[in-house]
Amino acid sequence: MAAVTFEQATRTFPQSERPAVDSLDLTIDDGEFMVVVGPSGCGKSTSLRMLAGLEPVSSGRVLIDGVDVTGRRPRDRDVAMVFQSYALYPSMTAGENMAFALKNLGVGAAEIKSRVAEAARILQLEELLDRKPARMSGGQRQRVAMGRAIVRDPKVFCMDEPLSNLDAKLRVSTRAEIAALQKRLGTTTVYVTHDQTEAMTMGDRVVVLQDGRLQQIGTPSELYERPVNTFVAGFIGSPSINLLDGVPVRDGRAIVAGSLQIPLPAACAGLASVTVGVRPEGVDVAGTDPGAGDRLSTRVLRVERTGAELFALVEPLGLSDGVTHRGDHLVVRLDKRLAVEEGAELSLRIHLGEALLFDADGAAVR
Amino acid sequence: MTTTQAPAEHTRRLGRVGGYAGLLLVVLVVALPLYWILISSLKERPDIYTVPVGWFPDPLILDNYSAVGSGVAFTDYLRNSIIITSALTVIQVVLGVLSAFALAFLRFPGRSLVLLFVIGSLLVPNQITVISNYALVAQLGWRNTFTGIIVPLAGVAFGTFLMRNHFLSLPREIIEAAEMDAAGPLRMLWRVVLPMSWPTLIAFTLITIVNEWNQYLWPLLIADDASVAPLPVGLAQLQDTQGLTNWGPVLAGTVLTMLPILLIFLALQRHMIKGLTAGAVKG
Repeated sequence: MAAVTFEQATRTFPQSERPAVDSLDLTIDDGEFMVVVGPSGCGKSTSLRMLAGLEPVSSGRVLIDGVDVTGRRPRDRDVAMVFQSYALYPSMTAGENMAFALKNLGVGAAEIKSRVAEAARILQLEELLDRKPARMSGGQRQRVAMGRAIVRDPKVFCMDEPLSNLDAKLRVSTRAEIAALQKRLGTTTVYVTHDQTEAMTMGDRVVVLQDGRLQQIGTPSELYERPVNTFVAGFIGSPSINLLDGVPVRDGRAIVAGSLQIPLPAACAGLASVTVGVRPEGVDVAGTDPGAGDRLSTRVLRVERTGAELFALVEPLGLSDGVTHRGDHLVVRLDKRLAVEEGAELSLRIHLGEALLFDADGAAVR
Repeated sequence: MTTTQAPAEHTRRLGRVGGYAGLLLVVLVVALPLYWILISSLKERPDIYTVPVGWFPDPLILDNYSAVGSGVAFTDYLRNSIIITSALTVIQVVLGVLSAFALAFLRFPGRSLVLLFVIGSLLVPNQITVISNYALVAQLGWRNTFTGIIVPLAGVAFGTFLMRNHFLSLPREIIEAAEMDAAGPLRMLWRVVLPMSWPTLIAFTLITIVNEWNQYLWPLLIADDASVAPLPVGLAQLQDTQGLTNWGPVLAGTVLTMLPILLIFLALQRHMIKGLTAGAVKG
């Protein structure tokens, strides 16, 4: 077990002007489950590969347990990796796959046997030890790949989207298994994913990257409740947050519409306009009373019922001049017992305290 | 009940018939000379020259085969061929695989330069280097020795190129997994890379065996007698002594020369075809 530190770690690919990972400063505590999340091409896999030693570091340093490992080979870092494609050795059985690293490291035969047996027991692979990868299901291969990592008892686990090749149902159950396994083993883990649900449910903390730059680091609820900018606000949460741009500021209030005026904190004093973010669950259906500046009238475009939830895709009516919304519509989550009809007008009550505010550059203001 | 045929189906059938006719033509072009050699080797001497041609040997005799041995030292040539081919195959396959592994997976300065050099050497015809090689070998005192025949032929460029391209087509993550699993280069090659490469490796080996078995020009220049010369040189010798008047033993010798390679080919051809396409398409 060990802490991991990235110090100004940068990776620029040859023939590329923009770094794939740009001056990354990040500390992962001993035993922590850190999820790195972001859209494709944001540099999350490259960061992980820099930690594993599979990608050279152009400038900056990577430290494991306080020791600079920047120039070390992967094998000398005591890091185990679970690959997206699992990367099992096709000619070896599950047991041989797991034992391979231990054999290479010169571990004794008896020790190898007991460690593989223990990993197989934890991952319920006992029946499969003599089977080759070609004769296994996706979920079984995934478990063998996990087993290959845990038998080594490394300082750090690197996981590169290990669930993305599983079907939806298996992904949910394996997600919980990996999180529980990590808690039990207490091994520092860096987990890369593009799936914000995995990020929210698995990590102790989450790092959001965009274009190779760190956007925010924090617990899942911090990222959700207090995103530092519109990118993080939009990336975390499903369905995405509703963002209204160009909302004019008058007398310390953001005037979204005549009936919706959000009081602004003192920090917004000098701003001419702000961006307002409203989470899909940050609204209720309003009664007929005029409200206290927290109403927004809308027209329902579509209704999506997922069984447990009801999402209404609505078009806002009566917005102030110059206010635009990102996307074709707003999404609101409503009580599934409501009878909402497409085409009908719907008056919404916005929970003003939950609304997020950003300046014209997209940075949060509080 | 009558069925009408769609025009598309009609042309498809025509196309297929045309395709088979083409295949048949190619097979005839390749197989007819081989068949001719085989039947002639089984004919009596006058029957070989009979017009019209007899397509079946009648009577069928094996005298030509026993005459091969009396004409030249056939078993000596056979032994030499086996020695030269085995040595060259082992050397070339080992060198080819190791160099391809280095060029595909190891990071070292000048890697692309080495690759360019390998590809460049593929473009130089053997005939161009024959004279300088001969001068060198003669100076070293290697004339009429196995060393003199084998060493200059042991260079490998095609195999390096073929295997490197195949190695590069392997899933990169598996190689990285082996790196993470602390496998050294040789262990990675033996336990991870080669088990995924057998078809291509078999193809490379077969091509090498056939190539070296058929070596003619270089051994002809270096070997003075049957002590080191391989079968193709022996056959030419046989042709010189018998061929002008007696083709039977020459053709019987040809059949005997082809036979070992044919057997190896038949045993491994399925793998080889698979290997070639795997190397070509993915590489």
